[in-house]
Amino acid sequence: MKKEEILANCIEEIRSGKSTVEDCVKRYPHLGNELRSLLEIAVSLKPDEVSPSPEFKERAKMHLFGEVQPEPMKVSQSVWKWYRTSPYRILAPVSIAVLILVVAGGSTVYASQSSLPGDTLYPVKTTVENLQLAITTSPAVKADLYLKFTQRRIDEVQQEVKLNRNVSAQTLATFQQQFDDTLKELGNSNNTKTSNATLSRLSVVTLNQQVELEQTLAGAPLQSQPVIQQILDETRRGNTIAQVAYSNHDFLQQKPSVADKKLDSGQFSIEGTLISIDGKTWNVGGTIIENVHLSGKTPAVGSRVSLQGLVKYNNTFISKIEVSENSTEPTKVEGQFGGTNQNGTADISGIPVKISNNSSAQLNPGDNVQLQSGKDDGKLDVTSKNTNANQSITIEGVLTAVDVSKGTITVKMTGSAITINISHAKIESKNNDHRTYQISDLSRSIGRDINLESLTKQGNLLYADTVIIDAGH
Amino acid sequence: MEFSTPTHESEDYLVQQAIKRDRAAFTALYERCVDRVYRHVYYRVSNHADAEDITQEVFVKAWKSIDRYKRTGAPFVTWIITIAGNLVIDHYRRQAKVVVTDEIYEVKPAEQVQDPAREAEVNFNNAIIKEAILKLKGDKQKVILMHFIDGLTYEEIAKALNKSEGAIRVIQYRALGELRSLLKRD
Repeated sequence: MKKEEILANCIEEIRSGKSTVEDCVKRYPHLGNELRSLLEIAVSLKPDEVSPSPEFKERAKMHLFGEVQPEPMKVSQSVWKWYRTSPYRILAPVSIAVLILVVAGGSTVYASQSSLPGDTLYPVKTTVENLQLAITTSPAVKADLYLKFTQRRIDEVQQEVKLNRNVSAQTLATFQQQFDDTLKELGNSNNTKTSNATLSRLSVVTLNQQVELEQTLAGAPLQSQPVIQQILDETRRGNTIAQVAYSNHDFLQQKPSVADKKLDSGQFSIEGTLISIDGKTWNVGGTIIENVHLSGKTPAVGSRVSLQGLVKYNNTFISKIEVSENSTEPTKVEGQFGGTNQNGTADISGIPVKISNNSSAQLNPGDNVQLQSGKDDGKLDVTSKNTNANQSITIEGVLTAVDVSKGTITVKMTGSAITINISHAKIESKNNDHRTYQISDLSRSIGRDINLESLTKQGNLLYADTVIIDAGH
Repeated sequence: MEFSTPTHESEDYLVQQAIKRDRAAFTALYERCVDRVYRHVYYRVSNHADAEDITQEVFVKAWKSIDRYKRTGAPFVTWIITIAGNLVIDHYRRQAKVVVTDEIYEVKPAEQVQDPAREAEVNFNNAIIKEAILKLKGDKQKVILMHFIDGLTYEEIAKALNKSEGAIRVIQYRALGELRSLLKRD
């Protein structure tokens, strides 16, 4: 029997449960390792365990023949006049949307998809969106829809700027509402797998939105810039929320909002010995962290921990944790200085930190600071401060692939793979070894943390200006 | 827009009726195929919103061009999946906006993970395998997707691609070999 037939027969037997990989390899010893390796790949090939939601199936069924009306009718001005003035529009938006679909026909609805705020067809676009939401009951699917609509708002902003139109405050309000609704629906969803997939997508979409908006902002007319800046700030917060919620679903129960400016100051990192855990209170190198929320295994007391997270309403959500053996390395804290508490501790991103007197005198609220333990008094000294928060768009993830010929790398971040061109980037090591690295050096850092800074977009590819790698020892 | 769907009818009969512009027959075909088409599309785009958009577009396009359907002996779904494949390619071509949504990683809820490190490794491996499949060209990718993801038999794949079953086995053998090389390289 030919090799391909043996392989095909073995695959069928394994899939039907009649044989195992080992059985087949034993049966055809002359094919040995080759057969084993091919079978191992074959058994790993499986479809994703997904099904379309019943809501989608119904919606798509309704749409089946909508695109092929023989003579699609346009919405007449009288229909629009009625729509705008009728008191029933408030009572029955869904009925109106159905009416629009039926009366207007698929082509008008299709044409409305490229309309912008203020255009005649724009209400069709938003009404169809509302209809889609109204007939969707699954929170996870609804969240996906809301997310898709936020991207449409960003597309509209970019288009408006291109056409030299003003970006209205209403766009900001709608974006904010749809983003918060995405988060609300994710919080309502019991389907953790689907929610995580949406959160993963959310983190990537918001990254993309930030890059697009930053470039749009640079070319926008002055009067539109404040609105675009606010939307940009909100996408940044959206990205933070997605990353924290992806690691820690409890966070969604806090009903985070992209309008909440406190999120800008709540991000922290701390590294030190885990001295004690008392309920939800952790003592890391003498700094007390209250109401800790962590998904997964709690580290052992006595180990050295490196935590990243966010403090919101006195709850501390850990988004990343690394545990290593205890060492004599100093305790390090990084976050935003919020002022001095009544008991004399400094508020660093909502965490009370004991800092030396001469250090606190140097700080102003809003400063981003790095602190480190030095003397034996248990207090931390400021080692670095930055009064202007670095607003460049960054990615923190794990390096998974390097393509030297294309000058690109692939980074895994909150469950998504992102390809970035770094052919013109400065590559440095976080270990401050003052070496200059080339892309070809990066293959040794696969599987390790990587930071990419000052992201921009050209065509359909992201570019980074600075890459900070973990070059190891 | 309600149709009585003749779900008991044979697929051939439904296809013939759909070609005559019978909406009820096409709706019945839609109901038979939609899950598999969605799964195929989701596998290739890895997010629900795009999978829904494309799946919906697949059936609209199929209805528009049903008169061009030629019976090959393969199940009707293979024709629909071919349309889906083309639309996925179009989707990536026109996706100048969506640069970074290469969401190829399977996500597992943290609280269900027994051994996070092991689970992360498994998810990572799944993602790498998926990425490698999508790097295969032409019939190799088609055969792998049709057999392992769409669940078609060798006979059905052979009819859909107008080749012999033996040829399909050879393509599968070569495709798995290429996957192995791609995975080693990665």
